[in-house]
Amino acid sequence: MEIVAACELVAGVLVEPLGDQWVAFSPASGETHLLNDTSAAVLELLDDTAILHFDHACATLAHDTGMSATESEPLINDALRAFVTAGLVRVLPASQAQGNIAS
Amino acid sequence: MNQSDLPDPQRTSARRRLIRGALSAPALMTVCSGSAFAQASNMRCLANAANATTPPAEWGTTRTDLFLRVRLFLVRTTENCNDTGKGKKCTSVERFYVKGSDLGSIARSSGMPTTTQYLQINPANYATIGSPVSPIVNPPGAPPIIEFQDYVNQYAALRIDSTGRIVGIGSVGQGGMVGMSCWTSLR
Repeated sequence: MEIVAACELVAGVLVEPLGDQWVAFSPASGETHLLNDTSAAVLELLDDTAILHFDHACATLAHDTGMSATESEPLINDALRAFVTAGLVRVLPASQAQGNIAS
Repeated sequence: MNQSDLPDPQRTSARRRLIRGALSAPALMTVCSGSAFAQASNMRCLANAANATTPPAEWGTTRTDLFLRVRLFLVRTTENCNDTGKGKKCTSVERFYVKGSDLGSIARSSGMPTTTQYLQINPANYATIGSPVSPIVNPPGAPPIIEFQDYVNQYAALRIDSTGRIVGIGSVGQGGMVGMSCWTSLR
């Protein structure tokens, strides 16, 4: 499966808690999505940095949950791919992603 | 996310929730859009009206009701003047029209009057007569032929197709009558 190496949040995305879950609205698609904690946490990482790099996301969330970065990789990648499809996230080309490494 | 949308320290954090639990499979479900449902419902409303084999009300009425209608415009003209030797004898002719300008900005098919045209209609059975025409005007430099013109209290139904266009007026034409509630929610 192709890895989403670097991406950024689509401008204007709104995220709000809704009970035990989360809702996210994408102005790009005009759709609203229901998210679980894992998806919302990845979206939150995207909000914290201009450009989110895959390795950084895996390491951060693995640290949060106490699992290894390798274990978190397929989960994070699934989330990012779903976000791209939903119009919440935009994949960045390699040339653009090199210039801004999230810390 | 805009700066104003950034979570403040007091706000719930998804990452904080995660720390308490485990990294489970991510889930994202798209919520059905209410506007999409409404749009589908409205188009169904028009489609039902256009396909109705029997009209839900009269094609013409003498007062407004809950259907999309247009008011008839009467033009009475002096025509066929003959000199009888005892004076000039003329005939008064009354024609009823639907003014294209009264159809507003609703899309219309060919055969319907443009905003500067009239379409004649029979006030007895609300059937259209002929094709759209330019309004009658008094000839310059000659006696006026228009005796009277004004709206009358007769209303013809607009016939709408399933895409929302006016395709007919009154009792003749394609399409069907549309209730105001159906139309209002669509526009």
